[in-house]
Amino acid sequence: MLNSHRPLAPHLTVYKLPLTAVLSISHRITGILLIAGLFVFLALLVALASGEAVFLTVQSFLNQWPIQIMLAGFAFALSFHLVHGLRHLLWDLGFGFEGARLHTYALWEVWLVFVVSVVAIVLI
Amino acid sequence: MAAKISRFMSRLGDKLAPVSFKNQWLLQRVTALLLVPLVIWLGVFFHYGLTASYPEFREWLLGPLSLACLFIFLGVVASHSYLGLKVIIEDYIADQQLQEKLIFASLWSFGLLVASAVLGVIILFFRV
Repeated sequence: MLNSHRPLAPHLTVYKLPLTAVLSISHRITGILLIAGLFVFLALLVALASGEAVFLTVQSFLNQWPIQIMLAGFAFALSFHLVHGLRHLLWDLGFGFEGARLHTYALWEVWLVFVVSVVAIVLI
Repeated sequence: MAAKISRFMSRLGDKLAPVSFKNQWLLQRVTALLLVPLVIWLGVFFHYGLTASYPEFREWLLGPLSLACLFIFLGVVASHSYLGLKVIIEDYIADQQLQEKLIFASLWSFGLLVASAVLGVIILFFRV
């Protein structure tokens, strides 16, 4: 029987997290936000299947500015999750672990997320 | 009847759940790699969804390449999301029973999401 009172990791309230750790937790948070975004994807698909009238209603709802801001947030979350996911894959291959450069790599990642987000928002 | 359905779904859930942690880790990486090119398709999907007319969006989505991407995307994104959420639940929910219930619920939620999307595409395909 597993101990159900085991401590939770990481101890967020105890340690001051380095940027890499903040990005790592943000990866999980953006993952959860993207799951919520999947329902927007599904809504568009279902609206399309329901016919032109329903599709146009949903499309015009999604084109209202508060929703557009949320969709921009979705594009940012997607860009972040994508870029940090690629960094995870590089870690899995054994690259990018040099302690002295870890913070620099994290800053590069933040800049790359910014660029990818802007491109995604402009193109969509 | 409800108890029978619940037992059936529980057994099916056990069968569908990936077996070992190593396989889960590997599947999470493989699905992540597959999602990299599919993100471009997703971007085009949203671009059409937000700006195109109904006939344009329908024609694009039912094209062979786009339809293939849609089905691959659905399977891959559901697997990736389920595995990611499962790890988060295992890391942050200490209560074992609640953990199992949430993992079970997430597995079925993603299954339902994929089923709804596939049903939507089938309806769209036969809609004149």
